[in-house]
Amino acid sequence: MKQALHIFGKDVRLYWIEILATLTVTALFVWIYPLGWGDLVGVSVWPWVPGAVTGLVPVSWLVLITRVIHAESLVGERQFWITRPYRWPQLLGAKALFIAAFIYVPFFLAQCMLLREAGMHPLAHLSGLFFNMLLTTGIAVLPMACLAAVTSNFAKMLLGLLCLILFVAGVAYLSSLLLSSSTTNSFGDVLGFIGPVSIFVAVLIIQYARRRTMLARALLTALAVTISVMGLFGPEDFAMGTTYPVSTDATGLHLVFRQAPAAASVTTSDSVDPREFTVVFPVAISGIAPDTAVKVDNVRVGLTAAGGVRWTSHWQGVYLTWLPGQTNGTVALKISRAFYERMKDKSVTVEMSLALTMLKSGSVTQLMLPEYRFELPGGSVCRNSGVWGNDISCLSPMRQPPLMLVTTRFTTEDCSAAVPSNDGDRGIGWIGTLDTQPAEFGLTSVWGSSVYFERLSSARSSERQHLCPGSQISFAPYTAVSRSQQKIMSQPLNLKSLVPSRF
Amino acid sequence: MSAAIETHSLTKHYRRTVALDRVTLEIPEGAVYALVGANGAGKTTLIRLLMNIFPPSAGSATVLGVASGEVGGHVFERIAYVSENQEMLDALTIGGLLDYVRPFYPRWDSKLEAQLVRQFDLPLQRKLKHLSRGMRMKAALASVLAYRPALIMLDEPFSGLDPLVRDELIESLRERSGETTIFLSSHDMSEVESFATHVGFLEQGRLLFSERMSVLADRFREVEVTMSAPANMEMPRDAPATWLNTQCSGATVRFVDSQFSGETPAALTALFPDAAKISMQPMTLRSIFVAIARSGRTQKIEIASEGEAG
Repeated sequence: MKQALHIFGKDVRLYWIEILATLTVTALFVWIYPLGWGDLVGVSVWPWVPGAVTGLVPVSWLVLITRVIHAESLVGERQFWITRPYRWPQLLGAKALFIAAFIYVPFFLAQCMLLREAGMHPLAHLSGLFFNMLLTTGIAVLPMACLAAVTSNFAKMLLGLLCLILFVAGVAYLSSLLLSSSTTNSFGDVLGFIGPVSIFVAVLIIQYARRRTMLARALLTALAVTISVMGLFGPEDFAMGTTYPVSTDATGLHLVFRQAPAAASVTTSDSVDPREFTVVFPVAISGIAPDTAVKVDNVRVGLTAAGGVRWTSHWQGVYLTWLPGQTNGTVALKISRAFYERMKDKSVTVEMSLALTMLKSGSVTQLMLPEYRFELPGGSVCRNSGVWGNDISCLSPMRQPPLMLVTTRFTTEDCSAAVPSNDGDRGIGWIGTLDTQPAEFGLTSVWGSSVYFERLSSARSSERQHLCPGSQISFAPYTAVSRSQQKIMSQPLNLKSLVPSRF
Repeated sequence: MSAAIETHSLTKHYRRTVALDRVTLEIPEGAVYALVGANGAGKTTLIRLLMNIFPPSAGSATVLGVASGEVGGHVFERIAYVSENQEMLDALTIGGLLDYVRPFYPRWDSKLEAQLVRQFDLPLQRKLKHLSRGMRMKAALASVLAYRPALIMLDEPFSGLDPLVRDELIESLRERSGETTIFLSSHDMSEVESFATHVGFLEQGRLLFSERMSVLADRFREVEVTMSAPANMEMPRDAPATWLNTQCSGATVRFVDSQFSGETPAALTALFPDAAKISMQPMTLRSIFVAIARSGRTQKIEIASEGEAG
């Protein structure tokens, strides 16, 4: 420990400019980031400033980590320290201590100050703060440290970073060549975190204990290639099957294709990829029990035309939630334009697999909408906001709030009356996520989110309606009960009838 | 006397290039060992293998009784390594460097440090990056001599230094000889001849010999045989293979005998019965290496290890 402190002291003396720069950027971040929350004096003149300062934080970390690791470079044969009585655990400890002192501590304090700025008590969110530090370690600090550990100087680190960026760009380009390949669920999150973190730790130990740079670089390259290949061509069926086992219908949910096409009543924007085409499948829903809901996470579709011509999509992320009493739903999916053009005048049968999360409602919180801020269960601080004054925006500690269904009733008059008449449409909206982790990875400890209300009555849909202080508003939390997969088959139908009208 | 350094068939390949080829040597404690050879002969590779800067491709070595693969950490409390191309903590001053390295060494001698600073006339407030090559080398040497290491490894320490600085460094090393083992590499024989007690010669990765300096000097003689009558001389058919660079010119035969001994004069008289004069001159280290390099028969020279010769 004595040696680690001695090396730490030397690093502090040598890199005080870099330390000062990092602390300054962190302080700027704490000062400027809350301006984007909208409560305070705005930054409308330079709206990019909060984002730019946020971007500077990891850049300052990268510079500081690289400089301090390169002070005792692990690559090469001419370094001063390799023939001095350095103990590698002490050297590694000195670097860890430096990073803790000048990255973690300021970052922790910055997160606490942001929480305070948002009106939340930092001590109430210690587990989230530490969990975010853990995520930050795995996602940012360890990769930066590894990059520094396998390069000999700052220029070579930048070259390595450039190679990494080019590699990611190449993978993104390859990904763009694949149709509808996005699967967006959280399967493999834990494995996807622990695996790379283990490799990063192994690389650092290999370098500090043995300085086997080629082996360390090979490990990092293998990790990057594995992640890319798994992302592009990974066994998505296996992953989806593991997360969403095929249903034995214990949920009671019953789904069938509706005969009447819903396409005409749905509008959609054209798909970005010209090789794809959006079609809308109408679905009849039944069996959703009271106090439950069904969230549709991913869908895959197989189309079979007469003659056995078949096209199957990848799993596609969709974000639908069906509530009790809802009998009709629509699922918009991208299909191959080439297949559509060939088969649009022919009958096809549709086989759709839906990856579903069954939700159960918790105890409902009801309140009168205050004029200013109000607090939700879970610690989120919300207010009535928006240009039209009919949505709600919230700041939440450490993560998005737990998934909640928000219901209210609008007022047709303006909000000048002492008591709102609540004579308008009923509005519902969702806020939050199903994640149960104590924190989401982020530089900020305060997450912004909004409820955009959907007005359920169509009779007065064109009328201006208001969400006034004093209106009744309820928040119903939902938790995931189970995940499953359901398959439904259609009768032969015409693809043309599924094409929505375009914007 | 036990060995400070021992190697057995130590080999290093860089892909297909053999940088060091089955080097076996033994350096006794207290020796001043000069490893000489041309640039690219493998001297730096051998030193770096011994310092565990990289691993060997084959063979083994021990340094102060520690396997070379384990050299590191606390072992360097007893080993000093200074190289002509070693990176330094350039942002530090000389005083800062000494302050920084001092706590690493339990046996640091502050009085010796002060003496070295005075002896080398080191400007303590000047940053290392602003120092001349000679001054950097003196600073590096001061930072290792002050902890009285059991072994000093110097890789081309005098390369590119002016004679004054070189003599200062040699003098400081000479003062430590006896209390410590010194291993230094050089491509200039004259700079090590004056104080080395042992010498090894590397050529293209192979150690041609490794022995005590005095034995080497005794073993080599520049021989000139002058015949009594002018004649076109020819070498005797039974001339030993240990004669290097034989030249016959008129009535004179010149060669270098690499295995000179007390019996050599009698043997020469027997081989050259008509000789009017046989002169056998001792050779400088430099002239020995020149003779070996020119001989083209180096592979036939008997390699004498320190164990055998010392």
